[in-house]
Amino acid sequence: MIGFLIVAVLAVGILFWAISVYNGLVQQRENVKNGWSQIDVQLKRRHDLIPNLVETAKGYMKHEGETLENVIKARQQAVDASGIEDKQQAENFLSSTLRSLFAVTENYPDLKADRQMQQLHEELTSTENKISFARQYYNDEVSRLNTQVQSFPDNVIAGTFNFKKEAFFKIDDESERNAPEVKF
Amino acid sequence: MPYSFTKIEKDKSKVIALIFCFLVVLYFLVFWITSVAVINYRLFSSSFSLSNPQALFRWPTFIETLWILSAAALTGLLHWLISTHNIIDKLLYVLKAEPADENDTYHQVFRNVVEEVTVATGGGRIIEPFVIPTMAMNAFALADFNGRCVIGVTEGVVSRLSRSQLEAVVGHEAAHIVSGDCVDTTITTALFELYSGVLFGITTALQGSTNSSLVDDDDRLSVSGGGGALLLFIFVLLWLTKTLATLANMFVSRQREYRADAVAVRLTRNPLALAEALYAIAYHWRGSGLTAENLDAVFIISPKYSYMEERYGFWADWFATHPPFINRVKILLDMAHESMETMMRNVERRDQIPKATVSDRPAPAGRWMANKDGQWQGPFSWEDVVNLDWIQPQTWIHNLSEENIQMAMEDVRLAPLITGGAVANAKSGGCPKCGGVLKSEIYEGVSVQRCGFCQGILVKEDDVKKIIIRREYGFSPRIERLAEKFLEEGQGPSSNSPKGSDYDKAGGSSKPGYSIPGTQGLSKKATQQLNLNTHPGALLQCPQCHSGHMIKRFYTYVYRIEVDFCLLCRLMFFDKDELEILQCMIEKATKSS
Repeated sequence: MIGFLIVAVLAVGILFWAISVYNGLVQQRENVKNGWSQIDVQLKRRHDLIPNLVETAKGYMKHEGETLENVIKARQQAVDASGIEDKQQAENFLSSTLRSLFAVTENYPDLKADRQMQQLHEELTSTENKISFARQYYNDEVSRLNTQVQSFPDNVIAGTFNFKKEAFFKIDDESERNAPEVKF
Repeated sequence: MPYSFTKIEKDKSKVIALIFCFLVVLYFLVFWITSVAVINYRLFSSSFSLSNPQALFRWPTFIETLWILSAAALTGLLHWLISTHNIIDKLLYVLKAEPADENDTYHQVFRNVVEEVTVATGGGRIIEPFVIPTMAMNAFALADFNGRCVIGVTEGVVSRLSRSQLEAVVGHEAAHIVSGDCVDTTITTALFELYSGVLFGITTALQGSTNSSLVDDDDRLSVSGGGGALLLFIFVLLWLTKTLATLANMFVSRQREYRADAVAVRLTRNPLALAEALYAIAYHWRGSGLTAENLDAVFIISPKYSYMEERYGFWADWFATHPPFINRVKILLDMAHESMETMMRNVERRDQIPKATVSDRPAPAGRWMANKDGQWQGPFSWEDVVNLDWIQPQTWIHNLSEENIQMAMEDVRLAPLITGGAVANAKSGGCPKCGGVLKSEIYEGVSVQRCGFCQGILVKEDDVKKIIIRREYGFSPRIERLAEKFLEEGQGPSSNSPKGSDYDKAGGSSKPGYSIPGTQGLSKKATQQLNLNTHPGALLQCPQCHSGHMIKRFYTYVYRIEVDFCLLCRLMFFDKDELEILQCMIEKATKSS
């Protein structure tokens, strides 16, 4: 009788533990999803800003057609990209073309003084920061999920219910962690 | 551990219940003491006899105590409800905070930074950005039950800190909101400190009025007598509420500041910027003397310079709201692997960064001749030719290093200064002084209108304060010289000013010693000011409302820069260089103090 009771209590305990671990995993997976959608929102915002930026810059930078075209091309690639790997590559490429665009604007004092350009620049700087913050949040949540999925005994539940490791959103080079800081 | 908005709602109710109990107990004690006094007063007056001294005194009975308790609970509930209704709006009102202005580039950066930090916390809640228009440096966060939250900073913080420092400060405040302790702090502040804040405001106002009435004349002395009685009453109340507020600080743990610092570092990954920001805030004016100092629990660094805040020990741990700031800085510097000296040097260097000077804008080379009434005048430098008061769009000009002679409006360099922006600003009317075209531009982050011709600046009154706080531009040596002159003059009475008004005759000041080109009309004096105000013809017309004349007055009597001011539109017109001189004067004055 006592043996049966002990087994019953243990079984109930294990059941509750399993439920709480399962719910924790579900919550964590939702956090990851939320993190990803935040990145997505900010990337879209950047895609929307770039045509304006190019349009404004065009008026001043008559001899830099190539740089501007590169930005447009990179943007189009980024918009078309799907899947986390492709997106990473396209976005990193877009970031690098933007950096070279801002480097070139240094040579155009009139453009730097343009009010609309200043506003766009502030907006873009802010969006870049948001992207990197969103990425930071996403990666934190992913690492938490991955740790939980792999560590014992939670990995038993994770394996049973098919919770998988998620991929990080990586950055090409470390210097890009800080948004391009262009002094106006 | 968690720092996402969704996870925090659970354990905040405990502290809040504790605060409510404290409130009821407090009222109970007050009522109980009062009722003991009342009961015994009645005994004393009705049956006064020395034969039975025991009858003189009795404690309240059990039933009476119950009544007192329920009355205390009721009063506490009422106090609670009144204080927590629209809690954030009330506190913002007392703090005099305003929503960040969208048309102000500095405020726009602040708004963006708040959004960025929100993203770093995982989004989920909208944080409203607010700004307190004061030169002091501090930052605060407020949150209520309904999930509304506000991060506010002072104008000084927006203007003086770098973007990453501002981000760190906002990160710290967001950490308070995210970890949930912000709600406790906000409620404690609203329950106990709000009233001492309000009373403090009234006291300062009253003190101001009694002081001025004492100075004014004897008739007003009676008024100040009445004010004095009221003042005494308010002082007693103020003392009581202040004591209460100190007691209430028991609920505000100093540890939460360390925690918020840690979370801020996790959000922004930049401990050095937070250390620099804390250091910069601590060593500037933090806002002591403002009404806000009574709400110290909500700020990043206590606005008061109090001894208790900066040490440890039993009393300090219980009643101080913030840990010693130097410890916070040390912990952050350890994280960043930086030494204190390097950080201090960095902050001080940032204060002295050589900024772009307004007059450093590239000027075309060469000497210029200009034709006045058929006579060639000059040669002038670029600065002089722009500032000639008789130059017109049709005036013939000649750059000596070039071949052709042309009209001013045909010259690509001069034309924008004389005719630029004509279409865009045709509606708003011309420069009040010379009728030239006003061109709107961004100066120190705010939108101002500059006359392309006389270089006068038209600014909104509130924006002048912002401009004074900001230091995007430095000053040329000429402006600094002039500012020093003005400061010297401001100290003594204006006895050295020329008697009578030769200003009217000459159309500008003829005071000797001011023969620096382009600064005519700068040293107008108080006597002349009076004369001008009685001569409507000499008053400028406001370009915005057209209805009124702009009165002439000093910016303040300490900083005797003369401005033209429209009382209807609250617009101020500064002659060429005067705004910069004012900025420079104030910067010098605050530095030397």
